[in-house]
Amino acid sequence: MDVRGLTRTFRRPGRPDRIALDAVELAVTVGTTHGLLGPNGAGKTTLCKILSTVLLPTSGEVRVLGHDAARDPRAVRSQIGIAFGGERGLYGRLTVEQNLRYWAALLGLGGRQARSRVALTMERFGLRDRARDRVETLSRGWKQRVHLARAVLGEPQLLILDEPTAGLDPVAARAVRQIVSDELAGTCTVLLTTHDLREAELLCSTVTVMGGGRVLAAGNPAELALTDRPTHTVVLATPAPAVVERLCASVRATAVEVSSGRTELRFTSSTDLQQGIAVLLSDGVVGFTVGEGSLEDYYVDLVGSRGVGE
Amino acid sequence: MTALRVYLAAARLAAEQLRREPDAWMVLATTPLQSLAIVTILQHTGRDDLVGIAIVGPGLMALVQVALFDAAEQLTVDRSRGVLEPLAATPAPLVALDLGRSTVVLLVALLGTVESLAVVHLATGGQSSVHHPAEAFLVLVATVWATAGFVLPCTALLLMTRATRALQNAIPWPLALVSGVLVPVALLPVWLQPVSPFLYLTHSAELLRATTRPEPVSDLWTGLAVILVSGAVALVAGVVSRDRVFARLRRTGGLSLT
Ligand SMILES: Nc1ncnc2c1ncn2[C@@H]1O[C@H](COP(=O)(O)OP(=O)(O)OP(=O)(O)O)[C@@H](O)[C@H]1O
Ligand SMILES: [Mg+2]
Repeated sequence: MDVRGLTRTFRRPGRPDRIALDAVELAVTVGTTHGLLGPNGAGKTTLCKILSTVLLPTSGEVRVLGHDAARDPRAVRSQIGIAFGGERGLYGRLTVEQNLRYWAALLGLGGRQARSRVALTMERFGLRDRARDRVETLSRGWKQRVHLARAVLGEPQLLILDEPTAGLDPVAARAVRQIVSDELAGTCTVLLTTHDLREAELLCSTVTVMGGGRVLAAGNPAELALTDRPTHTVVLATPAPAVVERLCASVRATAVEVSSGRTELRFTSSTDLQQGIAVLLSDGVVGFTVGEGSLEDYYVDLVGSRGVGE
Repeated sequence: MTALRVYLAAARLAAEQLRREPDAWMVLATTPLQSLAIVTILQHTGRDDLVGIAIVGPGLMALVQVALFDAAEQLTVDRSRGVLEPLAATPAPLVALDLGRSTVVLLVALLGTVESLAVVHLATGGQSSVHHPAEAFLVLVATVWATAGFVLPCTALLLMTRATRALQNAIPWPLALVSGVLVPVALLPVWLQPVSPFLYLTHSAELLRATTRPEPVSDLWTGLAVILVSGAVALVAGVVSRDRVFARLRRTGGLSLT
């Protein structure tokens, strides 16, 4: 998958066009799982739609499995599987099996081949006992399994999963993640969007962080974390602006006002942390808690610092 | 091959949905009643010669209405369920999908004509019936084909305008009127009459009415040919317009909007 200078705008009557994607670059190696991270409105779904040929780019080049997604959509369609997730995309009044059989036919599978493929996929995704349940009677976690099952029916080479765990409880989310990591990864290239950084760390070998339609950072999750992300945090119980200012002048640290009156200091090494704490203590500030930095903070910083997000 | 599979899958889906949501069966209740109303008026006004209208009119009307209703309904369901995008992302020929659905609902609606025939037969004390069943059968089959074709460009229009409900209700009546399904073409305003021969339904109605009269059906093969060719033209128009509308929706992003 190779995306170059991809821009997509949407017309808005009487107002300037909305820029959903702005000169996006993305390259994903065949056979790997790539994460697309970003807050609401970052453009993740728009990108997924363009890759799956249901939306045209405004400009730029999009190649999927060697084919131009804009000019040669048919070639792309026969090799991809998509799961846009949620309540949408399935016929509620039909059973799980009926839904899958229908989609199998749309993918050109027929007769015995369709039947065995559907049976096999249901088995793989633990859906066999639910085969005769109507989809509208399933919980979201189970619906999501049906979505995933449908996405892989055609044995695609590229799987596009838009927020596969959104709205699921932790147990269901873990089940879905397990399916992605155990059943799907390795068999094909996976592009997965998520808000959940841990999920990205768990499942993806590389990630792209997006915000406001632009690519903010790309690399493997560990790398991104190592170079930029704070390793330790100190949260002050009461505001102490003067102390914080002095600290930031002498130690490598950034101060972030996480909520009104609550300041968080972020350090990128334990030496800096020690020096920082020393400064705080020498100034008589003792009300603080020390924590580990997370990809979450990094992510919020990254998105926040570029002035994007909604 | 793929097209056939898609066609059959759509037919199966329609059949399964018909079992669970029997909306399309409604016409089987209304069609014979309309026939009864018409035959009653005709008998009271002494126009027994027009009784063919009572037999075939409501049934033909039902075919068009049901096919359009179902296409619009399915479109609404697909839109609200977010199925349109995944559908568009499959390599399947979507026209085959529409045809498969139409076939099933049209076959159901066809039963309406059988009911009409029975009702009118009873109401006239056994005096009216179909004198040329084989010809009637051929005309009905051709009409189902042409109607399935006719609905395709309509579906493209529904897809594009999103005025689904309005169009679904607005299209059948003018069509039925101009094609003389409920009122003989000869009774229409003169300026409207030249349009009629261009509508397949005009030929369907004329031929079907002819099968309810004892004398041989004249111009059967010409009429059949016109109906079949109309269906083919509509099919091509359907494929082209559907492609264009999808291309447009890919550009505007309208496929995901409900
Ligand atoms: N069909 C459309 N018409 C107009 N604007 C659109 C359309 N689809 C998306 N947008 C806009 O494009 C931007 C990107 O939206 P997109 O759905 O891709 O974000 P996302 O990253 O998937 O967000 P989320 O996390 O909420 O799913 C948003 O500002 C959105 O309002
Ligand atoms: Mg999204």
